[in-house]
Amino acid sequence: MITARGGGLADLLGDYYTALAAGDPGRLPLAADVRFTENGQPIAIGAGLWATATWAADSRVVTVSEEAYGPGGTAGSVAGWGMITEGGADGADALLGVRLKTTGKAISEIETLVVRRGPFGRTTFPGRLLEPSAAMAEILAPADCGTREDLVRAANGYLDGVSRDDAGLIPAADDCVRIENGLQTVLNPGADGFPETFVSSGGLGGLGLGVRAQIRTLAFRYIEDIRDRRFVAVDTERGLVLVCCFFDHPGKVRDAGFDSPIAAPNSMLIWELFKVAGGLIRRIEAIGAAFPYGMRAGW
Amino acid sequence: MGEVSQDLQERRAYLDSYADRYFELLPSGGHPRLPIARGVTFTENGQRLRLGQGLWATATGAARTRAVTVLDGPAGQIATWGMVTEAGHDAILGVWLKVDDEGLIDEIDTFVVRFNDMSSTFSGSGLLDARRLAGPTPGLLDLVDEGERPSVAELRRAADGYLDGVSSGDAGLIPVADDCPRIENGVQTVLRTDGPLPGRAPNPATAMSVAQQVREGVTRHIAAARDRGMYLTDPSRGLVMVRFFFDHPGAVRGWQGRAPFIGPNSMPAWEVFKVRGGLIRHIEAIIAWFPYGYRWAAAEGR
Repeated sequence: MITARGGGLADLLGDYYTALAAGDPGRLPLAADVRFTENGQPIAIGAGLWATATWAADSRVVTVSEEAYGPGGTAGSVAGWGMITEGGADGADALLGVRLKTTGKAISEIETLVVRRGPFGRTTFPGRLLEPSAAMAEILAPADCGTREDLVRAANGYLDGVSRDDAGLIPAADDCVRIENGLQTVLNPGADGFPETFVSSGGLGGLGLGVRAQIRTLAFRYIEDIRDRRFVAVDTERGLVLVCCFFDHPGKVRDAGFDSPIAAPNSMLIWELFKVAGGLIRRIEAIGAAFPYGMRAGW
Repeated sequence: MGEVSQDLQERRAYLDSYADRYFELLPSGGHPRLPIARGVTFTENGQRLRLGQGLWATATGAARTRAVTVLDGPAGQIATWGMVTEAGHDAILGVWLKVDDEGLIDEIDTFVVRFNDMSSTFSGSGLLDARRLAGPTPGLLDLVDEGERPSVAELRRAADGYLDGVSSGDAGLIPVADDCPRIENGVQTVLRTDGPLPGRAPNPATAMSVAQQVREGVTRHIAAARDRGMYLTDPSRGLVMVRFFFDHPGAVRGWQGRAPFIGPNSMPAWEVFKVRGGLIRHIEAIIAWFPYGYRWAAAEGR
């Protein structure tokens, strides 16, 4: 898709953040029947974060886009996340994920995920969220590229493995890094960035372990299901696949036979971006926030 | 004191026994022993779940007596709330039950107010006085003299007047007595004489009356009181209960007033008004902090 300024889908995503910080959705090429959700709730454009945001970072941490050509014209999908501030000088930082769907030259769908709590008990967001992730943006050698189906299969394998406690289902490289809301949650033996309260609780079954080794410790038994998976954008050139889904956490269930680190039931809306090269997941970056148990995304 | 017919009294005792049973069975996950109709619907915090999920799987304790109860005999409905324990943490459980003509529960709506909940959109732990909610609220269930007893229509009008007045900033719409207390999650939030709200900075507004708070702009951060429903009424006790959301748009650009929330949120509330002689005399509510624009499945029949 080519925007009025001549840029592509990634530029359109940047335009969204700029318009948001100015509180002016009129700057965007919105379809007459555009749908908008914030944290799973359908609300009017101009409400929610549109009314409170006062600043947006110059760049996004990650961006992924995909175009499909069909009889109805070109359909585009672009998503990414970056930092914003709401409430002005006395305001607060938040991490904002935005997904746009375009039909022709107009935006027909806007889905947003606003993470307002610092990760893992932190009161601030990690500085890395102000910078683009170079590793995610890198273009793959042709021999390492998979098809759209290959990438979706790899992502599904990860989600199945995590929800069923079966590391064998997860096609992840041993040195695969995972970043969640800006913190590295695997292969991080020094627990860099994590508050002491989280480290001492033993969460995630060992931050020093790799993706599959963590699963083998059964540290994720508290995840009941990973449902409503939507593969919203796939970029085969960069090996990127973005899935939006819910992790259901039933809480400390009386007869579970293990102690869940999450006391009260909740469902976490997660946007998870996988980089897949040569058939293996090489890097994972994700954002997410907890919502009432059983909530749905509105899409 | 006024009187109510024996038939209605029996009907109320009958409905009350369903709520007793609900709280009694909860900590052991005994939901299969509830007298439920086929196709019963169950919601927790606005989400349609299977009976047995949510708090039914996690509760470890429940109070024997509840703080607030409104019985609507003619409608076959009861709404009530009291303290429960979940994984060692206090929580407030609101339960609304609809009982059909065969004596089976065919709708269950629940509101679990949790504290230090990861999914709360309030950054603190929220208001709670668990001790106050451990037993029945004094005077709430007293019968109202027939001369001062409101009709069903007057009860609904009083509740709507309050919600319209608070959300529009017009105290003139609220038929409220000057000495009316308002208790939210067990904590008195008007006419306070014993200092600031627990865990909060001193705020002179908490010493004001209900109407004065509205006149002084204390409630200006409330944009709407929407999706009002339930409306259980008990004229003999002057009680009406409403389920609704307060929308808080947050620190909106150019906002000059006090904004207790930076990011937007919506606050589900179950609120009970005691009305006598045309005025609201007592308000009890349970509240929580949810995503902005949140909706309640039970209110939409979805």
